[in-house]
Amino acid sequence: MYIVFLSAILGHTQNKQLLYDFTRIPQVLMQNPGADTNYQWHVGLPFLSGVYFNAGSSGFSVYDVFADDGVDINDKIRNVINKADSNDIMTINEQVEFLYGGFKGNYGWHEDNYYSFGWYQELSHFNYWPNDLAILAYDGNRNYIGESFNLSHASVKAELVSVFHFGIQREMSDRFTLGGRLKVYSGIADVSSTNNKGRFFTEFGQRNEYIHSIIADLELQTSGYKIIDALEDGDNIADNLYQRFKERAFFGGNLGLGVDLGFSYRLDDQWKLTASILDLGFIHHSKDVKNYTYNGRYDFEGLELLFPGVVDDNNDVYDYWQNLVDDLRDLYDTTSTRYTTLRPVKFNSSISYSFGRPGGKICDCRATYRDYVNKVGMHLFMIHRPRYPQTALTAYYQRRLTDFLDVKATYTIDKFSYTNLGIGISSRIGKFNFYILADNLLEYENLAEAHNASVQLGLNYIVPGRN
Amino acid sequence: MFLSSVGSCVKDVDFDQINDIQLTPVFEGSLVFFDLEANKFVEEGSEVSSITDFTRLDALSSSFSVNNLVRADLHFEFVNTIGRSFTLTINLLDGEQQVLRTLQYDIPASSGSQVEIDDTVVFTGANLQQITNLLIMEVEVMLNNGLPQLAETSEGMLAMNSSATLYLEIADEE
Repeated sequence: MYIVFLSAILGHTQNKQLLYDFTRIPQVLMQNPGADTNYQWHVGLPFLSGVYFNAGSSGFSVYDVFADDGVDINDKIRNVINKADSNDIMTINEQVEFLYGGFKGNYGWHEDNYYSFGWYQELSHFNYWPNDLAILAYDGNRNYIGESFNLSHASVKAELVSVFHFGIQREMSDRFTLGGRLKVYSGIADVSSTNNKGRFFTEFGQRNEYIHSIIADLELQTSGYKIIDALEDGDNIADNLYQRFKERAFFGGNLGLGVDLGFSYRLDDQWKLTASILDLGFIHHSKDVKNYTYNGRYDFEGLELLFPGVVDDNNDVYDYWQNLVDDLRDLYDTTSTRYTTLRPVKFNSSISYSFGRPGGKICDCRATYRDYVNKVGMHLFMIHRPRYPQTALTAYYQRRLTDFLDVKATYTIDKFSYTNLGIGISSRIGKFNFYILADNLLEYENLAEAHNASVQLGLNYIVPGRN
Repeated sequence: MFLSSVGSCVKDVDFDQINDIQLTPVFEGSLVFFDLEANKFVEEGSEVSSITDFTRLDALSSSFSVNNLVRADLHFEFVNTIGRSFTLTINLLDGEQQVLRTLQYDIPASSGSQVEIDDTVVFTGANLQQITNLLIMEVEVMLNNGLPQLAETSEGMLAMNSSATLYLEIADEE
């Protein structure tokens, strides 16, 4: 029962519900460039200021396949294939900040601004479960005569990018903070195949036992394949990869541009509304581009022997087989046409209510909103996916436990899951800020059963603002 | 520190099972077919006693099939509406044109209604190499002596359908 329930959980990659609006952590500006932070300046520990990892699989878990339960793994795979469907998703997302820092402007117009900048690397993989293709590979077509295998089930997107960014957060008024961030993407490698259409089917034929038909409009676009070549050159994988990575990561890759926009608005001392839109941008792929297409229709009823065997001028036999191979090959093409991918756009919005003052003081007229120790809120997250946006809704509670410790607890539901609890801790020891955020805590008991889990942690040095 | 704690809370999982994964798909596929009109056996007014055609068929001899094919069934179906009997010989040949297997069918003459012959040949075990080494399929159609004499205007048709059922076992190679 428990497993059946879990099987319905949808992974919600890149939803950073724990970080969003957690303004004690400078990385909050990466989730909302208009977050109302209050720092003089900050700098992240290089390579360790922001490490993020998330993996999700909505259709089945590692445990469903690899449980050490005495059941034949092939039976377990059979169950998975029966259970999963073509809208189940599998995701991996990993980010490492190489550099991250920020400072407050200190004269004139700049005084109300906070500038932040940095460089991070991001690896993301997303695919829908290729349901019909899995069935075809696992069962073959024998039991599916007259039924179609849907080729659009093949949908995959993977990219490795290096991102340079510069953002401005400006306090427009006591209540209103606005922010924007410009991003330059340097695409290191990309694989994208999300608009496939077509089907393969076998029916009883007229002139022969079966007629097999393929109607296809398939395309796989790739850039940066030299990275993949480097992987295949087994001897020096590390050296080769590092070399390629170096070339590509510093603006040497496939370049793109994007923006993040966001704001925070205090309705009063206690109510706050925020929203942000992230990675509104594109990458233009022009280097190391290799695209594969398979396009057209072919119906095959068998090789028709025409009798007698035809021998041509070169004394070669007319080759019915080669004809078929050539016809099928005609549908296939490779190009190096440049292409453009949109980055997965994310949308966040929250409304929160702060309350409770330290020491139970009912009225301290000099106190500001920053003095409340509790905050409850709701957070909406959406991310664009090839077929439809993925949505998650989070309720959260944040509390300043002591001067040096803030905690945030989240409860997230999305289309299928009602059990995602997360917790985040941000501590300040001196001016050092350490944070760790992790969700799907209920499943940490056995991570293999988790359909989705994410963790983010980092170390910063923060000089707080004066008020 | 985090990673080690993750390690400790992954339990009851045995990744060695990956070695036991075995896919066992079964594919149905059309092979060769023909529809021969009666006049195909007439040339310049007289009967032709035998006609032959052949085709390369090397899908089954790819290294993939060699490694993963565990059984193959070839199905043949013959329909005769010509008033004469035939002997049909199917030779499975390898790359050196050596005969791996010969299948022979006697097709009786039609006496108005259509004559149907079905056969399924199963290849397993040692016989399987007759399929995995198969490169050329040769079909010879012999018109047996008899009457009525065939002419350009003779009615009827001799047809063959064929298909293969391929049983695969795809497993991690040790």
